[in-house]
Amino acid sequence: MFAFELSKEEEMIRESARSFARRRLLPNFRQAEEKGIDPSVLKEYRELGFLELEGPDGSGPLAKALVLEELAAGDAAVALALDGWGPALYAALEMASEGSSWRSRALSGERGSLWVALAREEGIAPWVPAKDGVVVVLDGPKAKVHTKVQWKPARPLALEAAGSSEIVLDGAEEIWESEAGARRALARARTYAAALLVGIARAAYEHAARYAQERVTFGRPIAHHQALAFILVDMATGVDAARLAVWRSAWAIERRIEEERIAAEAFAEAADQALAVTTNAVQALGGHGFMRDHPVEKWYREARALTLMWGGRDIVAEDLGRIIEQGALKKD
Amino acid sequence: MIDLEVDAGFQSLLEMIRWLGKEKMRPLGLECDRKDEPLPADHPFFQELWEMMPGGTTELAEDAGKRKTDPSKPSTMASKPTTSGRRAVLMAEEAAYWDRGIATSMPGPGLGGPPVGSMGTPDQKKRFLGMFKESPKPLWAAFGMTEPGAGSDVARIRTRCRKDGDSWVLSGEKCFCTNGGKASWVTVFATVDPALGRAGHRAFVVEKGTPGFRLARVEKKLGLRASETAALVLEDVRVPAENLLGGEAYYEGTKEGFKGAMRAFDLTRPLVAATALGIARAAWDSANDFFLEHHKGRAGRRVSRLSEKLGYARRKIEVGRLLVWRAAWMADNSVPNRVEASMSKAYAPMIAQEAVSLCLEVLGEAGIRHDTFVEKLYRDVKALDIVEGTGQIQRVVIARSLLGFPSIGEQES
Repeated sequence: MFAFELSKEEEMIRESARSFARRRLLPNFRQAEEKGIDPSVLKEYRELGFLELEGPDGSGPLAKALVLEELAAGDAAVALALDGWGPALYAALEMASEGSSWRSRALSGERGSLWVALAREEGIAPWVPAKDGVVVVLDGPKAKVHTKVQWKPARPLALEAAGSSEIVLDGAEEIWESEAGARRALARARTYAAALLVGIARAAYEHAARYAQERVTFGRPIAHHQALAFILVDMATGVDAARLAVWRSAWAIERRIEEERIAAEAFAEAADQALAVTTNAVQALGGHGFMRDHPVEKWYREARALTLMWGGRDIVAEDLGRIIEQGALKKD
Repeated sequence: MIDLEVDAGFQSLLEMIRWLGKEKMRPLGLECDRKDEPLPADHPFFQELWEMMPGGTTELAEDAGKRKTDPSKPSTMASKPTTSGRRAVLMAEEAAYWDRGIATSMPGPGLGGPPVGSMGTPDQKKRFLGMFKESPKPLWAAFGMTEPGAGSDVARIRTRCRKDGDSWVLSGEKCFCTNGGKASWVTVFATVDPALGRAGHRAFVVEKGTPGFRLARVEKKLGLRASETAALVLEDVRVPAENLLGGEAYYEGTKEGFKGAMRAFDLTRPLVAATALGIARAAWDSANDFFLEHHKGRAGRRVSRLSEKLGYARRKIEVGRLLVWRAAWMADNSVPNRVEASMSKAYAPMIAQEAVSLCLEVLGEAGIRHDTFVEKLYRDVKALDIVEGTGQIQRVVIARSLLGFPSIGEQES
């Protein structure tokens, strides 16, 4: 029967990530924006075992989603930089052959990025949040692994700490082909991005709610002016809705139940909510929200950048549209 | 009669702004954004501007005096209809199209001017506005009302003023003051007693270099980085009595104290709304170019979706412009326009942000890169729903008028 209780192990993993993010990521986000990640942070991340989460003895997609939310609430850019192949991992796990050495390589902690090629795009990815490493291109039923990549630094809207580049891809070193595998890899990557977006949205909501309960205008905290109160509670509901959509996606991936549709919905929901929540978080802080003294301007930028990746909301909407057009959701 | 044409005679002024925008404003704005620094006061661009348009924004300040109402008279209609408000919103949109940050850094009395124009004695107007017309070098003034603890709720300002002999002594701080560091003088609002609320407010012209008056810092911002946003500190600043705007007489007589910042004919809100539309239009043109370059002639779902986004954004921008134009036309014809001005300011910045966001989606991942330009506009546009009265405050103003929404001491301006 449906239930929403995390297991003890899941709680522990979440708590470990939360504590790590609070101690090592959140206090240093401005510094990371300018200088990238601190090697000691990377070292601690590995010692805490986060790279093993999706290995052979790993804890499953929900645990990963919990960790990603916590890391992103600390610093989403650093989360990407810490996490090795990040969402590109799933191409290896779902599409590389059973005995392939790429699987362990993908879990080794080396840097890797995912790019999703849309129709008729060749050779150049306009932006990836990285400055080096492997690039895996998902192109229909194929995954193309590139180790020979030209990296051109490109100043970005957000996620500076992860690195930021326009890339030119030479020939792929390896190509995996599996239609079902590619669909699952994309579903898992979308769930990954959605989890990051939940973390960003949550951090933005919490910051705005705290501020709004302290800031006074016209004789009361601004959180007690009904118009803003309603905006803030919609933000809180939105974060929870997006998180539940991500959790459902993790469940669907593990159980192999309609994961393509459910992951697409998770990304769409998290994207919509994160964009709205981060925009309203800046607004809630008024003029102060526009200053870099507060982190809300960073979350505003990050939500937009993450939701533009891989074709953004448009490709997700297209995929969902196609599922409907195929009659897959018709009641019997 | 409805007419939506812009006078042919005015087109040449718009052409000049376009030329200036393309040659100077946009490249300089991008440079400031990259460097995260406003242009310094001695930048040659300002001298060039000054020579082209001596006095800068002085005319707008003087106009403010002509538009004011005298609350003690039953109905004070200003002189015959003008086109200056409509011209101002057109210019504001066009300048913001090229770079809103640079546009706000143009020399002249700026936002400090209208209080002098509407509240000042003839001598004060001569001294403080006259200097702009006489100076061979560019000069700035600024407006200091907002404080870290008082933005929307103007009554909460804490900068104190007390009479001491034939001067006033001011202490406190101001923030979010555009051009505050470059300004030759700042119109500073202080209070004789915070418990009096707005009735205790007094407006002073505080001149640069007055002991105790200093620039604390220039802020680092999400966007509009070409605009100098200053935090100012006043530590026992001695201001001569001749710098109290309007003199003591101004603050006597009316039951609610002064309403210097209150305007029945509101132009500043539509002006600011127009700048939001300028930013949105710039994003739209860029996204449209990108779309046509990458997708023209192609059919398919993706292309349809992108063109739909552009269609939606375009429509919202054009309707937003109609709201701005209506408010400006009313001001030009001395028709009280408080609701219409607030409507334009509630609507335009909100749709502008949405439009820029959609334009980024048309660019996709390329939009994240600084060199494709639209990401800067995404950062710039957000300020417009906040400055000159947040969208939330605008809704309160509208609700009071349309719905009898109760007033709990909200600001009128």
